[in-house]
Amino acid sequence: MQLLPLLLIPLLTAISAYFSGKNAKYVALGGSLLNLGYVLFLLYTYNTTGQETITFSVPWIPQLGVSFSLMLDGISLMLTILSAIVMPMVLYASFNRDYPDRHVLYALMMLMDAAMAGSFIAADGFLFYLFWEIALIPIYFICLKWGGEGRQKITLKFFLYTMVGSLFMLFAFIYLYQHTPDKTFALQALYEAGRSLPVQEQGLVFAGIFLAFAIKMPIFPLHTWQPETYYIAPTPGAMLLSGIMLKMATYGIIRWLIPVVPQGVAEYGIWAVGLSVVSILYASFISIVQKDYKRLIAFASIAHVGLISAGLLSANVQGIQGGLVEMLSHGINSVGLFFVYDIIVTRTGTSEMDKLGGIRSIDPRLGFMFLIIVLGVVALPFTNGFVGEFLLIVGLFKYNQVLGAFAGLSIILGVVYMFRSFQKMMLGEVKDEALNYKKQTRQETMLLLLVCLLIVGFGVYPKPILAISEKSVVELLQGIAQ
Amino acid sequence: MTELIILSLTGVAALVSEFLNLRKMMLPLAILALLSVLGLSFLHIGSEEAIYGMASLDSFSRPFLSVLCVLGILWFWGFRRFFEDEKVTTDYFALALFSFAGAACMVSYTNLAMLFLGVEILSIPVYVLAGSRKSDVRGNEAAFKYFLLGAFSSGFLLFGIALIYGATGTFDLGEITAKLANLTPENQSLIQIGFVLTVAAFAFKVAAAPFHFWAPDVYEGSPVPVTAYMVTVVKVAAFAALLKFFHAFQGAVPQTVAWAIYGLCFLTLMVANFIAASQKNVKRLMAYSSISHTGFMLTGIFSQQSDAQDLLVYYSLVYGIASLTAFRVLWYLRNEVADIQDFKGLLHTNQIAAVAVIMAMLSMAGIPPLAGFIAKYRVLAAASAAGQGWLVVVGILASLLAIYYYFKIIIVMFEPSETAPNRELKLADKVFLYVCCALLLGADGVAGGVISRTQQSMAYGH
Repeated sequence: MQLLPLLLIPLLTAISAYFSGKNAKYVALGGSLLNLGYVLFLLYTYNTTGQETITFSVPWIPQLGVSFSLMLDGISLMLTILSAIVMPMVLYASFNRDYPDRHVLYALMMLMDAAMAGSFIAADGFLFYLFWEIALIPIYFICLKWGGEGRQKITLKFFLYTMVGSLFMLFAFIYLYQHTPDKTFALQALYEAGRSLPVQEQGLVFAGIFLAFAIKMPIFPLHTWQPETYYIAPTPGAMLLSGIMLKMATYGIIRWLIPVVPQGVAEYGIWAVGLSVVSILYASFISIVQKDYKRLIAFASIAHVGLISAGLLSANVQGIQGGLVEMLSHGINSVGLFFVYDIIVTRTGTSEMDKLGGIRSIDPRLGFMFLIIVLGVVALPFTNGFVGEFLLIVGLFKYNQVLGAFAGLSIILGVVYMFRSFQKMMLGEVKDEALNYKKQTRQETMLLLLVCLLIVGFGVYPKPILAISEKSVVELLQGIAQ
Repeated sequence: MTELIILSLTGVAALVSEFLNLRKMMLPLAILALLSVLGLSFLHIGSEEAIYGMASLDSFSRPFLSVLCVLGILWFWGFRRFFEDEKVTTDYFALALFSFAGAACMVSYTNLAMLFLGVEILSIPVYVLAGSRKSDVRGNEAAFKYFLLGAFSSGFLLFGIALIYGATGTFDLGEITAKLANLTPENQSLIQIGFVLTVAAFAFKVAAAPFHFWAPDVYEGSPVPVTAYMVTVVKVAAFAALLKFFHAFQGAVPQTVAWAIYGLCFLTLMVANFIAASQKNVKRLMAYSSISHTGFMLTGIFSQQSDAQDLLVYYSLVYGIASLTAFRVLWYLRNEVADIQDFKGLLHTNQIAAVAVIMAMLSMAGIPPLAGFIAKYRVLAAASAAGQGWLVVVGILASLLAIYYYFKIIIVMFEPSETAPNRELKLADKVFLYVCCALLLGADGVAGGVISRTQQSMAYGH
């Protein structure tokens, strides 16, 4: 029962935002703040009651073995917190522009929030798939309606790409379902079914499910939809895509991949980790030569997610814990990076870095706060990025030293491309495009300040964050070891 | 029995209403008739009624009859303007109702003679309706083509039935099933040929590749309401009959024939979707989409043995509602020839119609949370359970192609429109679209469980 509000609050907010016309944005923000409050309350009870898993389950379509089961343990709570924190930030970030038909936009965003929240707490394979898919519909329409040039083709590619993965994941789930003794999609039953399979079959199931996640994150060579989609997506859409949505995939690795086919992961996981590391290097190098700031963020996101994926698949405590923390930091940093893009592009009309320059001398506040975000992204100690990346690389190093060493390069390469973008846009001479640059509004300052505080706050004192998921992660790994 | 009488009598009433001056009463009367049949079906869930050894209203036919009634009611409601032409009102009503009675025979037959009668009673009025625009060349072509190929497939059906009769000496399905176990080798080969021929005849009716060539032309040429009738009522009735036929011959199908039917599924899924992806005319696109759904339904009923009926009932209902929605909006846009570009900017000119089309397309593409998802999911799960993993992969590819062409329509609607806002929909039509959308959304979420539960009580209630 405690878990239903996590779905109902965003859902009801979506409905009321749709019917509140011009005030939709305030309704949506209010709803998401209410949701944040509720999540913090859950966190409080979770900590005070000795970190017990909260569950909820009612039968739904018994003929198909589907139940409406939700479960919140430390891992899910981490992701729930992520989406609860990021959502109001995304909404607040969108206040600086007037979008046409905004009641529809905000309703779709909240709908997507509900679906994503659902995918983080689903404890039934079918239900997880449903939420996974439902989250795709609103973002597709957001990009199609409010997106930039060439959105028709790009969004269709995005949708089809994602569906390829999803359907193979569904096939894998059906396959597992048929190996459950009493034909059910319940989480534990799928775990047992998956673990009882011979190693080769586990490998196939692994491939099917990982395909879906690899496309969603994305991992090289399945990433081709991502930079274009991020590029044309309206800023709130891009924030949702990289801030929360791709975490559905990384969360999926923890909940729906590693424990389902542990032997498959142990046997064939090296391929996936290898691809993830290739993905890191590939995306980092592309980022270095990117001319456009928004595309740079897109590729940087691929690089970071590659590291998360590699760390998670190494399936040890450090890797998974690091992955979880990094998901949280990546969500916050993405909002920051895309918001800086939005600030610059609304003023200068371009995000090509060669045309920009010297913004810091016009708006020193933006320069300073962008610097903090950049430091967070490049994982400087005492920023939030550091905790996650450090743990991820430790985990990966324990798994395979060569791959770990290559993945470690990501930090150095990250410094190169992030500092390069900072240098080009913020330092140097003031270019034509930036000449009549208006100073930040208060709304913009507030949001950037919030991002910076979170970056530094989590970086300096990460212990409470790590404590949320630690117990659950250890239990999960013990479950596999048996 | 009462159900069949109600349907036929309403058809007769339509004929006499011409000189009793009751034209205006026909629409409520037709809907009332269908409602009462629907009500009777629900009332008698689980009870069995044999009709002179020819047909039987039982746990198999009642759910299908209910689905047909729901689709029929929606069809009469959504396309009521089709009957507004004073000169032909009564003819059309009579034809549609008689054809509906034929559909009722087809879902409830227990005797192959009754099956043939049902097929003919269903088809002949539709041949006439397909050509109802007498001055339109394409309409005439469609009617003629439909008639010729329909007659051809009837020939196949008769030939198949005759061979089965020759081998077993009876038309009764139950007796045929009983005799299948101990047949002489010669009779066995007769049965096999008869089975294949009958299935081929059904494949014609449901437009499964490679027997589908008539479908795009006929669907394109016929008036939109008649096309909508063909892709919903006619197809569902034919599928119900086919499923019953499959059930009767279960176990007697040799492996080669089984593979041939899997081949049929494969071909239908692939051909339909590949061709649909390149269509520019919406009616042709919908025709190929309908063929692709044939492929899914065929895959579903052939791979799932025990509750194939439940699957087919759900699939038909969901597919039927989505098709009716799409065709209703198509009919609103332009009466006849329809290019995809006709949908351009619909979202800005008529939001309700556009949202309804989006719902219908998403449902047909099988995307959650719409009802079409569970339908497609169950087909894929059935194929996987039957050990036909390759067919699941084919189904996945087909679904992806389907997304491509359904989304073409959605994308066009989002483009800015160049034309002035379309005329408003009448209130009754708006309500029609709302109801369809609610069914497509609700059937999956809340009612998804309810529907399948009612069906289960229908299937095993007695």
